[in-house]
Amino acid sequence: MTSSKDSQHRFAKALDRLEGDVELLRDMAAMTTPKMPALLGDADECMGRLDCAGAVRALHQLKGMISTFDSDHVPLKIQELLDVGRQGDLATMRERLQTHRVAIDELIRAIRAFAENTA
Amino acid sequence: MSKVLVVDDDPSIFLLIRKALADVAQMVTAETAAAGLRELGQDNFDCVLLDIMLPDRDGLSVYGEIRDHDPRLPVIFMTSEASSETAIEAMQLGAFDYLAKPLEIRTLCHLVENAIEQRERSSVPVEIVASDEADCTRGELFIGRSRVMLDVFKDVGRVSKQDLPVLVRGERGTGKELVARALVQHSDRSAGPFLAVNCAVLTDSLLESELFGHEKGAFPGAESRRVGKLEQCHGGTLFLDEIGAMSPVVQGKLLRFLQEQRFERLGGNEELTSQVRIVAATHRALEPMVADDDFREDLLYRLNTVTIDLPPLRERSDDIPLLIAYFLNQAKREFDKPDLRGVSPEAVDLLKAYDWPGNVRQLRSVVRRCVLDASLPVIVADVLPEDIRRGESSPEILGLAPEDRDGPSGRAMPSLVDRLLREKSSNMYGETIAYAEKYLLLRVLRETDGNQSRAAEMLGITRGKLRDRIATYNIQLSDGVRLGNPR
Repeated sequence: MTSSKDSQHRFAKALDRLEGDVELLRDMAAMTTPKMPALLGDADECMGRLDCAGAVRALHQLKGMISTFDSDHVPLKIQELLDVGRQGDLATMRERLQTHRVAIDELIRAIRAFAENTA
Repeated sequence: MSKVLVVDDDPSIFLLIRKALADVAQMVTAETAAAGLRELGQDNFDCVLLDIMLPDRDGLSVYGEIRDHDPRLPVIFMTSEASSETAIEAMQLGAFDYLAKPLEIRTLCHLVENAIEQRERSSVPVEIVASDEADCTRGELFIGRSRVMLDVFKDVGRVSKQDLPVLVRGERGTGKELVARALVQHSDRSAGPFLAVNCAVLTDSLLESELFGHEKGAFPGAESRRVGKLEQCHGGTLFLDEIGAMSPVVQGKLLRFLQEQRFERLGGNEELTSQVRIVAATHRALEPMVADDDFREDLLYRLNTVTIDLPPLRERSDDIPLLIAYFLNQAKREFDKPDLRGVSPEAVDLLKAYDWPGNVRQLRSVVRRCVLDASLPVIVADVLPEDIRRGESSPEILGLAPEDRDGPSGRAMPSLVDRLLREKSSNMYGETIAYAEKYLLLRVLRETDGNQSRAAEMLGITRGKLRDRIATYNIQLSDGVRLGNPR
């Protein structure tokens, strides 16, 4: 299990932006984590019915939520998906989502753990 | 307490903004564009934070409706899609500012406080009104109602019909060429040609060829005959700016022309005549140059039969509001800012209190930049350059760019040119050459530890010319080579 200190260390940059307000970051995490898997699901569903614009919308919203916690790595990967999606290249978007899914899921788990860890 | 409307489809952002603005403003939230516009119609807000990608509409298009509703309402765009295109588009539309996500509490707070403050300040009645009707299409007009400027107008009226040379004296940026043009306009030569030559930007031999022309083979590279400005200007007026920078050889030839209206092309034997009125200008006192043998006394006496002295702007501060109004209306039209209402009283006071080392040209540039930078319909004190708010001269007034506060490094040339393009400067050539020249002179003078003879030799110009350029840019040679404040 991830300790509170580990979580805070992982999200140190995010905390800096919030002037060290752990409570605020935790509240934001609690509010957004339930929506993140749903947005990923929306993106999958849209891609399934060849709705590139819909997938882009869902991924854009996910990127916005995630960037509060991690502004460097995962948002850049999602941006990559958005770039190909905006060009209408559904196949590449689907393929890259598969590649980046592990990292995205891992981050969502870490944010959830941070939200739940009140120690 | 001030009220801020936040439109974003991510509710966690509301938590952050509520916390950040707890002491600053009350917050109303909306998760869609439609809800946001509804709130806007029901309440009065002091600032709007608007996400660019909303579920129902594009935030950039929502902005248009907000602006129609209240053009003075500052709108700050937010987006996680921070690209140069969206930032440029948002600012072009007239956004107050643009925030990239993830948001940072300190930046957000500072920006919203600033927006609210500007909203308050721009709500006061304007001191100078930006008019849509004012005639400001005639370029840089001669403007002023002060006693000193009335004297100038009277002088122009008195001497314009006389076919005598005129010497116009005044600091840089005071409008010496405008005096020359006014003299032409009100003279019997108004239908004749008007040509201008800046004696400081040409080398001695080029200036000589520019004025008197040259024959084929007169010097290496002279592949064909060239007709000089004196010939081209027959029946008209030739404006010689920065006459103090002219070399003794050219001074001698010009004196002969003034006395006899005769000259020869370089490398030619044929004596030519031309009926040209000479209007010369200088920002330097020529008398000390005569004492130093850098300027011919007989030429000075020929030129200063009629002298018009242009006052620096600081000596006619009563004209500043008039000039601001003129440049404001000009920029409003040129930069297509229909919502621009005017300048706040506080900003006018600061502009009036400033000493304007770059004179009217500098005031014009500042007003144009403020019009470009203002995101609200009123130009308030905050939009003014920092040095004007503090009452100090900035590197840009010294003709430098913000990058080189310690003197021109040469590196800021691209940003200088970009700025001049942005401001649609009408003096790009002069300002860019001046920047390069300052860099060159400082570099060489530093190399020679301030020794002017050695520097002149290295530069390939006369000592007199170097002295003129040192004086022009007020280069200080004591305690190390550096730039002083402009004169």
